[in-house]
Amino acid sequence: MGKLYERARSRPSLAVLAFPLIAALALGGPAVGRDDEDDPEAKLQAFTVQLKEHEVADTRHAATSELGKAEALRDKARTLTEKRKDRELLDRTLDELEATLALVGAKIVHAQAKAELDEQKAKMKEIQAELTKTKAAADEAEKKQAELAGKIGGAK
Amino acid sequence: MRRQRLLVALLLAVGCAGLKPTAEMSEYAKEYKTQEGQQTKLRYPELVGNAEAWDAKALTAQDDKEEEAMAYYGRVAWLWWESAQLRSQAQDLDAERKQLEKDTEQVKKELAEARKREKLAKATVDRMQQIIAIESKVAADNAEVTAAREKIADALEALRLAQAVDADVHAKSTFAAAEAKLKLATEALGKNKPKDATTFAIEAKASADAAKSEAEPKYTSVAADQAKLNRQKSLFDALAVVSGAERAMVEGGVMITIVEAFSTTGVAIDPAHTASFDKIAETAKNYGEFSLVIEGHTDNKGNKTKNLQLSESRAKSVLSHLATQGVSPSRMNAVGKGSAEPVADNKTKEGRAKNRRIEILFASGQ
Repeated sequence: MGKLYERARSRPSLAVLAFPLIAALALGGPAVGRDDEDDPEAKLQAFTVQLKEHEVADTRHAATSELGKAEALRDKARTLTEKRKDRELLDRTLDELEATLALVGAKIVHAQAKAELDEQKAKMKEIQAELTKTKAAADEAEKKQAELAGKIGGAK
Repeated sequence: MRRQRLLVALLLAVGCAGLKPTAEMSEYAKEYKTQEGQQTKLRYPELVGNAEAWDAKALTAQDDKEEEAMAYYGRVAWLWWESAQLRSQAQDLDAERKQLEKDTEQVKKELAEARKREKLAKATVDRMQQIIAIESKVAADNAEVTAAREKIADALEALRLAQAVDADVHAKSTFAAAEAKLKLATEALGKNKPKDATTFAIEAKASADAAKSEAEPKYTSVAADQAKLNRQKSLFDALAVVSGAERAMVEGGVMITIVEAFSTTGVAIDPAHTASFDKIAETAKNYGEFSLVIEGHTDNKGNKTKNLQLSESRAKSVLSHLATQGVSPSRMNAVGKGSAEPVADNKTKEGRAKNRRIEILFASGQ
């Protein structure tokens, strides 16, 4: 796929264009122009639900700007659906909305991973500081023990 | 006439020049070729596949000189690409966090050891200071006093040794008795009663010795449990070499799961997965104290009885393969579970794929 794709950059042909499309369809994920996703109203409804879910999930405000864009695209798609004209523009709007929602999802996941890593780093730092302090206290106590041992003879 | 010719030439030049790709298209093309970009493609083929499809459309639009379409396709391609990149980076962050968690556990262990060391030394210092305070009050030249001091020193050392095996935790009352007797001994010495001091010190030492004997098996057992757990963790780490498998620390051992290791109805291991099982065998040989329970699982498609038979045949096939790689059959047991224990939703294609799996439990001995 990589080599084929490289060729596509230099001279796109219909076969080359179709290849990633077919691959994406075979994988069963969101792709361009799937037959079972041709109903724009159903698509819009699904994306609206997804958008709502992302808005709730974005507790760290990692995708505020993208959520705003997605809302605008949803509203645009809603208007176009109601007017029932310019199908091509509606399809484009929905495709862009789908991709924007994917980006929102990825930003939320990324922010979550980053926050968890930062939290773990803070935890590690705290424990390391505690370790340094405790080691110093233990060394001090053992030193004192060694000093006293000589005074009472026998105890180590 | 000449002006007209110039105008035609200019129009032709503009027409042949082609469109300049958008910043997003250029950025995508640049990032796609990088090592990180290729890693992203491996990890998220579906998202990158979408990006590729949209970018191909953008390139066609570029060739066709459809500027608006090119910008639109390029933008959508970029959105998919950015999604894939962010998810891939998130995966790296997760891996870094998991490693950090392991490191943190190690530091926690060091902290526990340092705390124990501090506690032990401080307790011993406290006792020593009490004894020294009393000693300073009594006559040093008296032979009975000297004998009492020696016995107290012996008791003190016995207490220290007992505490070193956590007798204050595992033999609490006996250890407390030893401490009480030592206190009585030092008090008796303070009151210039060296004979009583000697008696109490001897009793204190006897109690401390008893506490040590009582605590030692428990202390050893705790240490053995810890050693077993460490070994399990080491096995878990060693199994990381098995690509495409999921690992988990479970009660009593380590579980490794490989999905879709067979063709749809076959019982022979798919050649693409042979290397994974070879690596499992290699690891199993290095961890000889673990027994292996091999479980075959199927999705819920087809006949239940046939699925059960199929899963058992597949589990046995894995057992035979591991045996040919040098793992002793006496350590292994193969079981078929059919579709009875799904781990994912059988209603979806992805869920069914996850359910078609081989689970190998590395069980640690008792």
